Amino acid sequence: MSGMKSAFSFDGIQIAFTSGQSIMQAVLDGGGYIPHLCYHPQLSVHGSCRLCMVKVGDRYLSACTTEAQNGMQVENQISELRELRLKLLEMLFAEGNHFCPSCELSGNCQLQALAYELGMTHSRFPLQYPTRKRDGSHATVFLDRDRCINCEICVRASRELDGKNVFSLSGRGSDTALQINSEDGRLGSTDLIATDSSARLCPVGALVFKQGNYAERPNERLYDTHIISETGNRRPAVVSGGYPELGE
Amino acid sequence: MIGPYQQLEASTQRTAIEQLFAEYWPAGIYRRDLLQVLVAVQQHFGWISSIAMRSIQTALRDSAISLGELQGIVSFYHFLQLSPAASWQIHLSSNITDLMAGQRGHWKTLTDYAAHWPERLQVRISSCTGLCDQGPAMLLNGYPIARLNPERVQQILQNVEANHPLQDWPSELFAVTTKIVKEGPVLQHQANPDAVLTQINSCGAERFLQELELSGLQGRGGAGFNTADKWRNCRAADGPEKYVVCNADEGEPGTFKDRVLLQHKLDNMILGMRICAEVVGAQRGFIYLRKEYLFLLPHIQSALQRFRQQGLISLGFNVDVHLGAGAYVCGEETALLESMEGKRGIPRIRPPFPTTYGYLGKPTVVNNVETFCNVTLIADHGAASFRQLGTDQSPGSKLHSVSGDCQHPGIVELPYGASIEELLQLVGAVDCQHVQVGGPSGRLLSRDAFSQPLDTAHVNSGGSFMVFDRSRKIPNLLANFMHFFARESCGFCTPCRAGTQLLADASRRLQSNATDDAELENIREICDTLKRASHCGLGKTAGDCGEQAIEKYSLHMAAKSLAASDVQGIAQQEDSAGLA
Ligand SMILES: Cc1cc2nc3c(=O)[nH]c(=O)nc-3n(C[C@H](O)[C@H](O)[C@H](O)COP(=O)(O)O)c2cc1C
Ligand code: SF4
Ligand code: SF4
Ligand code: FES
Repeated sequence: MSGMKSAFSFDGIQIAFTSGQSIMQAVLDGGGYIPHLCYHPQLSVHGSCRLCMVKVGDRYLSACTTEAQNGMQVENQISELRELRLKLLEMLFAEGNHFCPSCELSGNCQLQALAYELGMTHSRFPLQYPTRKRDGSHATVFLDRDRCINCEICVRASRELDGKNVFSLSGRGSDTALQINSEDGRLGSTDLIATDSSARLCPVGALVFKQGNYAERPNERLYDTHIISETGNRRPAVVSGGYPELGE
Repeated sequence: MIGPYQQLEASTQRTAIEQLFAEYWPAGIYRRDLLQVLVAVQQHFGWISSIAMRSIQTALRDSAISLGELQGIVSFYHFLQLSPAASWQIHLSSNITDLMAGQRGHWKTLTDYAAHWPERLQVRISSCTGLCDQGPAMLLNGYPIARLNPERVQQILQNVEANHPLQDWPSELFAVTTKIVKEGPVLQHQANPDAVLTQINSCGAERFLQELELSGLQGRGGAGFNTADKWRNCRAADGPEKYVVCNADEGEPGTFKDRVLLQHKLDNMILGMRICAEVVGAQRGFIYLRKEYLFLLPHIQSALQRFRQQGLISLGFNVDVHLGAGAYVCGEETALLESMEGKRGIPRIRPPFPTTYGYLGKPTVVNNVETFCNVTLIADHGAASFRQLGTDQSPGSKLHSVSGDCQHPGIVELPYGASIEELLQLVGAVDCQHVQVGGPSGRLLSRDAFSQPLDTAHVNSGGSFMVFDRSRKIPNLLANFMHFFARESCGFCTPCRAGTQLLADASRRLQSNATDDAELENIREICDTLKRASHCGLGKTAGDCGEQAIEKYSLHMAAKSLAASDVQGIAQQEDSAGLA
């Protein structure tokens, strides 16, 4: 029955979907928004950040991995989920080093924007202060692993959009870290170039351009003037090395 | 058995690796063999050197792999290492029962020695080694040594010091024997393979599936999913290529019943896989064997060889062994499939389920060791006989691996529906205060719950049963379990990757009484997040485990302060002596 139009309820609003679509896809297509970090419409589904948790009946499901079903009742904007997402965000902040005021992506970062959206003021969890290796070996792209949230957007973008294979994850558990697939493990020894999607889709300030940062004044940056639930997840061209946005 | 590990010259190493590849992979190495290749290299050389990785890169037939990706796989598995090997490698089991039996002292003795002689000895921690009935235990160059005590540890150090070849070490050191406290139909069952298979052939796959349905058999690996339903889904799935996988990863701390079944009921298990292949139409089977059970490999190989010679498994259906490499999460069936494909063991998004999208994307049945043994029992004696034991909802019997504070640790096979109390009596647990049923991912129950039945509807269990007397403290249990989950989290999803780490830290502070109410509340918050938002069962059960322990702890603290204000009843009920 593929292609047949069906609908489900999303916070009481009817959302149309085509069979095989996830809740996330259907909602985004319908102009709605569900918080997300690891989801990107042009990439395969990951399901790791868990920010997109929604409630269907008494079940908690990740919207990006769950197929929409006809007649489904999906809850999204409820205080219980806001609280759950807030805790997930605070965990992400606690496990990394996010010095927002001086970060290149500040004001344009999706993690930070979600924190604004959910009203996060601090992390209730003890900060872990990781000390992972940074990589400044590439001519135009800089990698700070302590800001990485292991979403594998760069990993997938490299493989699926760029036709390369620059990134992967190594380690496990809290030692999981982004790894470069070159012989010496350095970004500079790969075939990554500035125009690659993988270099400009990172939702946080883990993969940033070396030049052209801080071009906008505070208060003028994307998420200073917009809330993410209205703009959607975006990384503006100004922090994507001047290249046009991809997707969303 | 290999040891001591030698430092080899580059060229010698290269030749040795090439010989290894030629011996085990004469047809060349494919991407899906990667983990098996890495395990073999690790076992033979004690580490995965860059020379080894280059050799693997060169030998790969079907696709190129970068050094980074290869390291990504190696660094995922506890038993694979990128740093040069010491002559001897020890992994000390760190399950709570090992600690209770004095493992900390042995850890100290051994690490003191290793600090002086790092090139001779390397000491690391491993999660449960599946020897909890005879702990504390360790793996030495991959082989188990149980019943550690100061004398045996000295004996080990003397042999390390003398650098005796491993095969010359006293074989008594490596003995693994388990007491069968109580047998039931599964442990008593002696199947005649020919007779069973003839019967299956004559009645046909569909008829047997009906019989299996009637039996109501539920998976014995923990989740309790209906086996006939699983098989029917796989049978109905499209495609000529299908697989049967036996989950012998047995990673849940405190579980060793699958080891005992592999030791004593291997034929029944293989027969169960054979029957499954017949029903679903599979051509190949795999036994995913945890690396800790490497010592059982020759036993399994020779049984498979015997089956092949007798034509019981043949060209039409062959069975191979896949080794794990130290990763609890790989017991989760989709992580297991990823691991079998030679990748990092990250659980897949479900659905699709393995019955339609399994090994290499093909329909696959994954069942536990004990489940396959039960299948053979049903094939032999029929559903009616099977249902004579157990309850309506949970027919048959269940094997429990009992360890901890009791006189007779070992295996107890009980009908479903028997109470915790009955089990405790059988193993001589006289002073029992708490039991952890189903391992850290199961239930923590105290005396007020001991009348509850052990079955899938009440207290369900994958087969771990750890007994704690009144000298044991809840914060110690919590700390041990939380460190386990933090160690074994695959790191894929936010709540589990970050949350288990936070819980491990918090539990350490709780152990040393350095927590306040705010931190207790934080622990609850983290547990709740894990339970609701985790991608797979590991994170969910980690949250559940923490929540139960904190609940008990808080009850106790409340009881304690009430007791101080003269309300003795509650304090006695919760028995503060056994808690904090
Ligand atoms: C984290 C985790 C670890 C698991 N470990 C095991 C294991 O070691 N052995 C096992 O049989 N099942 C294990 N399971 C359950 C399997 O995913 C699966 O349900 C089981 O192999 C199915 O077999 P059964 O139906 O015969 O029980 C685990 C599940 C999770 C979530
Ligand atoms: S570098 Fe950015 S895109 Fe890549 S995994 Fe980390 S956070 Fe995701
Ligand atoms: S819950 Fe998440 S991080 Fe934990 S083991 Fe499962 S997938 Fe991995
Ligand atoms: S967007 Fe769904 S889990 Fe990340």
